[in-house]
Amino acid sequence: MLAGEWLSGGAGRKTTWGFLDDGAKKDVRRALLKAVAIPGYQVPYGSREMPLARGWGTGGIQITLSLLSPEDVVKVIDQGCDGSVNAVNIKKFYERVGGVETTTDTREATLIQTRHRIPEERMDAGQILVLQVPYPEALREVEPSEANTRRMHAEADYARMWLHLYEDVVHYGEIRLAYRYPCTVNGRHVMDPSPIPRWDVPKLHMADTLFLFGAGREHRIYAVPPHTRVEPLEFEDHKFRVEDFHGKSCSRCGATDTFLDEILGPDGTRTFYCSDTGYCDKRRR
Amino acid sequence: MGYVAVQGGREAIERACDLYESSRSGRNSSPLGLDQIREQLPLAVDRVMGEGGLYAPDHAALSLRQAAGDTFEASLLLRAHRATLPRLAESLDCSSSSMRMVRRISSAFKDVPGGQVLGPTSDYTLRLLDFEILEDPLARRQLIRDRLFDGRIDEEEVPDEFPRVVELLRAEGLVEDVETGEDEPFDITRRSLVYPAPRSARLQAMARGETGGMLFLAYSSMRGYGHIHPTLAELRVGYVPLLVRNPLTGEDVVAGEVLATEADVVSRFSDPEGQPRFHVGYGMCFGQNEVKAISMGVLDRCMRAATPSSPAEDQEFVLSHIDGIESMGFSNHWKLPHYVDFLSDLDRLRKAQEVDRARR
Amino acid sequence: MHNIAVMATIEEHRVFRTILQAVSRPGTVHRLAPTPTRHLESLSLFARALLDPETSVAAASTGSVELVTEIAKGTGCRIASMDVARWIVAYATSADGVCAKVSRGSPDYPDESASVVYLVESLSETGGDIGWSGPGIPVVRRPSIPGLDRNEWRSIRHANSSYPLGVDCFFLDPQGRIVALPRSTRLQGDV
Repeated sequence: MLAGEWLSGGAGRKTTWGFLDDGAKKDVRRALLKAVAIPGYQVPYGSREMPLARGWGTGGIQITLSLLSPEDVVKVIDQGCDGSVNAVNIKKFYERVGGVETTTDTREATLIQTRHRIPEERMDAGQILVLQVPYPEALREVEPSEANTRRMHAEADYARMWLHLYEDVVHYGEIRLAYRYPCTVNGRHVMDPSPIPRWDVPKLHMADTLFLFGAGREHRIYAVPPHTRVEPLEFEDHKFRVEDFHGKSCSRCGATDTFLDEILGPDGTRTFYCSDTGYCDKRRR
Repeated sequence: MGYVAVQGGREAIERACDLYESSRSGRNSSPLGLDQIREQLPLAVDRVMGEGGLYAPDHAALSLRQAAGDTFEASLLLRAHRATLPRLAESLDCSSSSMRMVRRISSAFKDVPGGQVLGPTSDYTLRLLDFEILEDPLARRQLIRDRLFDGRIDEEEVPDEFPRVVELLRAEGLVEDVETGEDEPFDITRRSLVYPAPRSARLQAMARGETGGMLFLAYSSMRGYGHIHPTLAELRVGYVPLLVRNPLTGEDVVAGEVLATEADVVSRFSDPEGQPRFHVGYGMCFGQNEVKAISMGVLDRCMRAATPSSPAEDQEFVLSHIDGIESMGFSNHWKLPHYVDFLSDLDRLRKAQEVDRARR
Repeated sequence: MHNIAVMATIEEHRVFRTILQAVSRPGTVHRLAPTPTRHLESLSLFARALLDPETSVAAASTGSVELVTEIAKGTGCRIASMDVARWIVAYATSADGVCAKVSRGSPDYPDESASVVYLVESLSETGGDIGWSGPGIPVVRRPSIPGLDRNEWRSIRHANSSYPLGVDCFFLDPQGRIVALPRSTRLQGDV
């Protein structure tokens, strides 16, 4: 036997279809079912190491690999962009281990994995959105210990989070939380929706689509099923507001109803483009 | 638009990978042999095996070469490879008293049953750069070998078993018994850690922990952030047998040997309620990695403090932050684009500035 | 063309995808595969996608012991007692209020609870007299779950009365159809 053959486990051993071994997939699947059954609750699971660094989407990848089918058409985006370095890398990985087709068109995709954005086009019941999550715990903002935050969720004790928001209003006249905006799911669990901008938070509420959240480094999986209440924390006299793009439009496609990236020019001018590049391309065609 | 260009991203990434591969493999130097890495950088190989959680010296050597010597990356490569391997069997408990000893010292006693065995160590070398090993000719290596093995070892004199110093102390009632209260060890590779974590989970997390991170925390405790005053009852480096039960015959068989470092730490008695006895801490990791085993022993003791009063005594603080693969990955992830989040932050700042102006 | 092992893996992926859709949309009927004609076949498809030596299974009553033994053999799943097992297999007609006897998780870890797989006769999306509402259900659904008596419905409702503690239920029929009833679903009507 050649040295390379021996090191890789022998010529007969091939990486299984979908890369993950059976035990890993089943662990993720069992966690996913619990996550859907308890919307917004973080299910611990035995997160496996992926051939990507921790913090680079390993949670999302484990979910996608556990439910991938050869018929799937997969879209991967990062900050809304299909061509972003890490998105391209992950997409390449799925083509290699699952032989799936990929797309940049939200409507064509059956499975979308994303980091920090939800596509602009409304997704339907046949589609699943997998979100990569760096911090699964919304309460980490106010409490560093996992043992304590778990207890707070158990008792539905969210007083410190509310106080945190209230203090912001008092000190700054505004809630400073920009992305990762905490939401109450199904009237019970406060959830971190991943670092999506506030713009995307309303898309989680009563959607037709299943949303799955994977935090590989933190070993947590959670979910928002379709037709589930997702309500951002807000005060009666201080309502939740999305980012303000009033009077601005995309310099490529002219859209005035999308989340816009701000690009600085050398002369200090600002130009705006759709963050959802797939949607922008489609509008220009 | 640099690294988020809509078109051409894929090609740029492929070229970046090629550039890495080209700079890693050197210009004209001959490729590093795995045997060279394994035999001449054994401590790096050992460290990577421990942090990668896979005892596989050849794979560790390959990963070090592929990672251009970065132990974080090399451990990640090894652990990611580990994740694709089937679990064939579970090894049986084994006592380190049957360790095939390479090195064994106790700093608690001048001499101990079985004796102090210094073994291979740089502890007593003068830390001067040795320009004589620039060439390191075969003749020189042979000379050292001759000096070492020229009829000086009398096999009769080497004991088969070395009693553990901490067990001798225990027999005299001088050290505590640590109850784990566990029938089956927790396995953090298949279940997420929960807090408070059982001792088996704490030990497993530390055995895979990053050497530098563990040293940092243990050192903070030794220096004064904490009340643990450790003594190294024993430090051992040697080969322990890997025992597996044959599923067909039910017979226990030795499937191989694993080089490991083990540290027994005892610390000052501190329980005013109970019987006065030394506390113990235990460290063990793959390969020869003494700094890590000692740090682990100290941290094991620290995390059992009755009332945690310093970072090293807070098990959640320690266990959540010692994994090199997780901490390295997350620190590096800040290199990924974050412009959507940043724009959202800008929106909040501008709004707050508006409010601020209106208030003034 | 894929070899047999890969084909089996891919089938597991498809089956799991179906189970995930079912639990995301409680009360809707899905089909794990077109082939089954017996309960054992439906249950095997379900089990192969989810069970392995890391989890445990129990029979709700003597009626389902044989099935559970088969499933444990096929997946390597451990057989455990009913109060600790993570998966419970029950024939609807002899389930005997099983949900009252199984683990509902703890306040810190409500996910450490049992899931009950009920084996029933032909499932359909309408015709039931109990209204289902909650996450995944835009308008009240009334699926028909044949063979489940009042006592059983009461044990399910009781098990899920202190959400998020609870028991998640799956109903399988011999033709490979599946309906899911997660703990988040509220049951209306005379139970």
